[in-house]
Amino acid sequence: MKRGKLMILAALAFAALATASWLSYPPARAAAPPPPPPEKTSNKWVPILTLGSSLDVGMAQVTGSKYQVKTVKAVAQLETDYKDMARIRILVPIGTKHVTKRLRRVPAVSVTGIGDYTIKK
Amino acid sequence: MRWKTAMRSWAAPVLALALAAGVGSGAAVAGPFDGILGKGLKVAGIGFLVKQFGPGINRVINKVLFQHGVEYKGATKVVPIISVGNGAQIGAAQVQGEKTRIKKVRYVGQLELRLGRIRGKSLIPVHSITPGKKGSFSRVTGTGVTAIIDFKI
Repeated sequence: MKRGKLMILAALAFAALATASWLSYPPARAAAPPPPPPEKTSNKWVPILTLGSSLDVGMAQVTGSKYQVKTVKAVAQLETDYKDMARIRILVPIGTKHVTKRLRRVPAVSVTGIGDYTIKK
Repeated sequence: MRWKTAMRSWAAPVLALALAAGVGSGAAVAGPFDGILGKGLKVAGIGFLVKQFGPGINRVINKVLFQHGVEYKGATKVVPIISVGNGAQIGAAQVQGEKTRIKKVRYVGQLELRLGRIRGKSLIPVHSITPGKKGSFSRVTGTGVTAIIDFKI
């Protein structure tokens, strides 16, 4: 009689152990790591050259991550108008002075202000 | 099959831009968008189209820039832009910056000034433009503009 009870207890314990991992599926996830602190940003004024519907030169304020802003040398702006009704402008912060070779766009940097002078309309 | 998927990904934003251009072109000819009500409708219409098709327009801009070798690999987003100063314009602006900051940007405000051949522009990505709302008109620092398409109101 005692032996029979022990056998039942052992079988129950085995069953509990075998199903424990299955019951706890999906496994508890580890707590998500806290988001990284926002990167330090900075501003800088660089020369801007506008090409397209007019030729303009001036200065542009670029903003972005502190490290990337340091590498910006100038901003190239491509501008086009359609019948004085629609305007399309693309602003490209570049990190090379030799713009004739290749435009190397600086990532994580964008434009927040422009002041320029129209040379040719 | 591939061209069908490509068409689907391009068609919606291109159609949205074409619609916006169509609504925007109402200013050039005498038509239904001349009055105050029409102008209000144009602002609301273009704003709605940009809000709805922003992600698609963003993809199109990124693909066009990629084809010209000046693509940006990072977080970008297209939001409505409202320009005041040298007339009034409404359209779409592509903003870029850190992902967490970009999520906060809802609109871009542009202040334009022109004095003869000299012009000045200030591009301000903001949380909201609802008057009286907390944080309204406050600048989202660390973000800026990389492309603009706008139409005269």
